[in-house]
Amino acid sequence: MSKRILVIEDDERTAAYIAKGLTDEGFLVETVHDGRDGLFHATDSAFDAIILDRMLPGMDGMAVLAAMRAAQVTTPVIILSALGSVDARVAGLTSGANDYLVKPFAFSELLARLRLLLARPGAQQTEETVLRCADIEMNLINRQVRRAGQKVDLQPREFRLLEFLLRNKERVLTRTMMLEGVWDYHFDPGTNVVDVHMSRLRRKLDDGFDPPLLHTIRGAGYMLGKAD
Amino acid sequence: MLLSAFLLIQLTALAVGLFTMHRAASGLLMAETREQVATEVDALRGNYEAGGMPLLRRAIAERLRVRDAEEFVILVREKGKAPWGGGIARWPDGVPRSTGWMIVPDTRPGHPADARIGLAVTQLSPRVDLLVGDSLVEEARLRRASEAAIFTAVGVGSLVAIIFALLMLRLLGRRIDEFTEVAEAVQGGDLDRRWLRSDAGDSFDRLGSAINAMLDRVERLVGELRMVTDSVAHDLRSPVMRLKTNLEQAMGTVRDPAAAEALASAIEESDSLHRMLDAALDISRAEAGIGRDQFSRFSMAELLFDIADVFGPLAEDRGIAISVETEEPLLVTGHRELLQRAISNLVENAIKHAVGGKAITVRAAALDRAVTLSVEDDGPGIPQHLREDALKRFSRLDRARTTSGAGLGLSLVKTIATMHEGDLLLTSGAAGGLIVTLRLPIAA
Repeated sequence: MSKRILVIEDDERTAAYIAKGLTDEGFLVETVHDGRDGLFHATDSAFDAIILDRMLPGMDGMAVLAAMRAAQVTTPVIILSALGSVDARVAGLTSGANDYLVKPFAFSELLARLRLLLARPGAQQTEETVLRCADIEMNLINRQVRRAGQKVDLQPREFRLLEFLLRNKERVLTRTMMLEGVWDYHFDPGTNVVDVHMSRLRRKLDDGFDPPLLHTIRGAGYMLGKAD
Repeated sequence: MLLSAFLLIQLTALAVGLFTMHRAASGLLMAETREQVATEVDALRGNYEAGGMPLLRRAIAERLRVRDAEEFVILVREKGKAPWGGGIARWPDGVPRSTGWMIVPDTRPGHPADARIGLAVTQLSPRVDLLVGDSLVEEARLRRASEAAIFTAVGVGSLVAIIFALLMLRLLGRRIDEFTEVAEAVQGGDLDRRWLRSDAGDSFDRLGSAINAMLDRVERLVGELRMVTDSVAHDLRSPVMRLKTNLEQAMGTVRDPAAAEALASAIEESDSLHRMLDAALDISRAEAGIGRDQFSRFSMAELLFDIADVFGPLAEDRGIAISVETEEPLLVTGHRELLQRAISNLVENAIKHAVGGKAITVRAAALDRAVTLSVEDDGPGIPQHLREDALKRFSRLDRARTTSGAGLGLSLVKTIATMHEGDLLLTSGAAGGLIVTLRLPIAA
């Protein structure tokens, strides 16, 4: 069943751009253009996720979010903001948003973050001691990684990266999502740092094994898992 | 200040006046005593000449009867006989056989240590010397009184002057501090900070109003400038991002490898353009002091190790090893993301520009409130005369540092340092490489 997404965005052009993109990806999209309508929709019917613009006429985006949370609506929310500063991100996340995107953004980035949010509904992950993907096995207790039963030697930083990939396996992860998730690193360093990390990890994890499990998703990022 | 200086001058004048008065009075007294002594000497000489030793004896006895022996002294010295007279038992040391006027210390028991006697000596005959003296009691009394007066005047006066000066200093200091506080706040990015006017109507008021007017103008100009930079950067970001999205969508549909490569490089260019715009925006915001309310407490050591992790593989691909030397956990209070960005910029610069370098060392240490962060490479460094340029916005040192870069890096780092009330230093290391040091008063 298709996931339902509520887009609360006053700028028609951006709203249409998001709606079209999401519809193309198979989501059911409902768009509203001001905060009051947004709040009404969000509390009235069940959505799987909400994309909320920060600056809205009528009722400010952050106020909408606060009102929603006060009304026990736990739907995951991605905030969109034109403020373009790192500070806005912090404020957004601390006031109940699940993720934050600075406008303008690449649609691929929004899509990847939305999918990640939908894959992890509300409930926290259980404490796992072994993470698996296909024939990769990561033991979090003795910090060993095996592929097809064979030990793979990883540097600590490679271990951290792989752990993040395993926890989000079969999801498209953008480079910024990886920087944020693995190193709490909140801006694009402007060089292909992530690509270098990934190519090293790939050499250790995929070379000599079949099938390849670390995939580059063109124009988006990376994915760990079996190719479709 | 001026007033207390004036007071001090007044006081000195008073002391000098008192002293002069004392000198004049004591001079007068002295002259009077001298006159008296001379008269006595003359009279006694007359007695001796008229009636020889017997008359002198009688005359002396008569003089001693009417005059107080404590004050008045007479001594006759005949060759071969013990000196006799009144008030004094022996010939004072160092007094010659003939003198018109001389002052000697009064060594008689029971007299104060500073007591003196003024005396005259005359030879009545080659065998007889006559000494007549008057102890300078009045003079001594006057001197003591004057000294006490001068001492009291100077002492009390100085105390008053010092207290007054301190009070003035505190008062002035407090008023000047108001201006210093405003200046420091503005310097730290709080551009709308103003001096709170008082209604005293004094010079401070006028100074304050002038400073406020100046700050109004500075704020307006900075605001305009920021708005221009901001809106240019802001307005450019949307089309750049749309461009990227379109390119990415096209990427998904092309089959031709040459076209795909062209698209990939176009995406890369749009990314770097986007980053430049972001950096320009971040500089404007940090310069404006936006984000100071977002300061948090975090471990600098952890941040540095993470940065070394992020850039490690990239550096290793170029044969460079990144090492971190820090205390742990080195807690600081600052803008985590901007500091992360600043240090990353430095590390990235070192990787890109330290041609032929083999090692990058990131160091951090705390001393009192100050945290010193530095990134050292062993590349060619930046020549002294170009270092100033390196910190300017949009400047690139093409001759010294060869590869691509927006040129916003160091300027952003400097802005972030300023935002944390710190500074940025460019120096060269032992091997000639560049050391960029941030000194920030942010230790938690």
